[in-house]
Amino acid sequence: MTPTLLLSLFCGGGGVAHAIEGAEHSTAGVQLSAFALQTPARHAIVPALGVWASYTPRPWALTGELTLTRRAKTNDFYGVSAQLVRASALAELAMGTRPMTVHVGAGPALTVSSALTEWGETDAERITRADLGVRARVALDGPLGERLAWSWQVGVASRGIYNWDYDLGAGIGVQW
Amino acid sequence: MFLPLVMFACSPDPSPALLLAVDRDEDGEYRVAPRPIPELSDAQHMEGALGHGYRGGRIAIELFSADMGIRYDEGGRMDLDYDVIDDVAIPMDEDGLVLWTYYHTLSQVRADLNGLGIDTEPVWPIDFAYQPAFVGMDFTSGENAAYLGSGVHLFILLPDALPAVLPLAANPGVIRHEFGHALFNVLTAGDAYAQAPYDESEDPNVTNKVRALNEGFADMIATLTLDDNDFFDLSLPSVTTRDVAADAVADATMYPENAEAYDPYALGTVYASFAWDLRELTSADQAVVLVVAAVDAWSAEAAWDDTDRWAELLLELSVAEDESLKTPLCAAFAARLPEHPTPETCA
Repeated sequence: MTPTLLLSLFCGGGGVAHAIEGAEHSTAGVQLSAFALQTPARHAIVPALGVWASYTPRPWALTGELTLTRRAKTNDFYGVSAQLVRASALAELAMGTRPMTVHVGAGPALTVSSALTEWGETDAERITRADLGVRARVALDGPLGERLAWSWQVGVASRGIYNWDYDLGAGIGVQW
Repeated sequence: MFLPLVMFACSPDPSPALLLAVDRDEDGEYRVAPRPIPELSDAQHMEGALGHGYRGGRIAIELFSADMGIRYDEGGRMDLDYDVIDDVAIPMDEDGLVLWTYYHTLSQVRADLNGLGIDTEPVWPIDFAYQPAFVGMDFTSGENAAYLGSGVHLFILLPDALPAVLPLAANPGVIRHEFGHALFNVLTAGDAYAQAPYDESEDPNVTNKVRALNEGFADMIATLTLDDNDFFDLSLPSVTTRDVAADAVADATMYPENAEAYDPYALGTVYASFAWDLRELTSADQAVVLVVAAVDAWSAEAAWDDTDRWAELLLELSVAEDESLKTPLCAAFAARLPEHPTPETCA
């Protein structure tokens, strides 16, 4: 992170003024996360890539997220590769000292998991599942210059009732 | 957070006829194949007659208790995701394959040994913990699978640190090895949950010697019931010291009196290699029956301080059953334990 960006983060700049002036603002961007993904018997740490979009008419906000993660293991005996895509919509409280906004919210999440299990010389089966659940997160976002925005979040999401995934991520995007 | 939850997915059949598991086929090759696991009544939650599985939980030493006992605080219920396609359960995750392999292996070793007249029933059930947290114990993820005796009677399965090989927790030999420890505990302590008498010895050399025989016995159960002299090769190809068909020979440094940091596997491999010598002269089935009988006899003598005595007893029992074994088995004894006085049977 360059000194200029750091200054923008903590002290504000032109973009900060822009954000303060508006009673509402919107952000969208991409996010990298570390997922603690609940497997049948444990939590596995995997990377995840996501996109988000927030509409923030303070003190409320509406956020949509789409996240993709993949977990794979192959050895001489079998290969299991699983992809997971999650879409969530959150109703949030947006607060905090401007220009930084603290989001605390929850909402429904739909997770589609698809796993390809391969064994033997030619045997393979793909199984796909869709699970409804809930998503909750605490996030911070703010301006980063004129048009850019940053975000940081920690969250939890369920797949069905018994599977709970945790995530910690940071992202960069645009604001208007 | 408290929105009503709906699951699109239906729960799969809890008792599928066949489940995917790693197993050794009749041609001697290990492969993933559909296998029945009759004792597993709930494949989704890993519950059945051989024990229940838990995810996580905590293993702690009760530091302030008189006997520094070990206890397991149960973790959550397992929840495997799978589908049944053409009567075969296919897991959606590697954990499912590992856990079904684990359970299938126990089911098989139970059937194998009971079929040979070795009563394994006092061992069951054994619950198991997948990736528990350890408090005050020195376990690392490199250990992968373990049996906790000392009154706990629990299997521990740990996720694997090495990505490209078969996880030890899914290696049928390793699971049979760990089962061997549980059987050893029952044979010597008399009860699955009992504290073994040698564990109460104030002499650490006694405990360490029995550890060596315990490791050796566990390898004997694995190698003889699989009829595979080197099951480690599947998961740890670089480890060649556990091949029981190799030339393991006891020397003075393998005994705890002469070692500073004791490694029980070296002497254990010598004992297991002697049992494999017997297998070469007879059959895997006959050898495993005699090996268990020898541990029974050794335990009846309470010869905790003399684990070589177990080898003498194996020799005695084998020759008593088949006199023609005397010459080759005495030669094998002398080769494996060259510093040991000639046993009475061979004199």
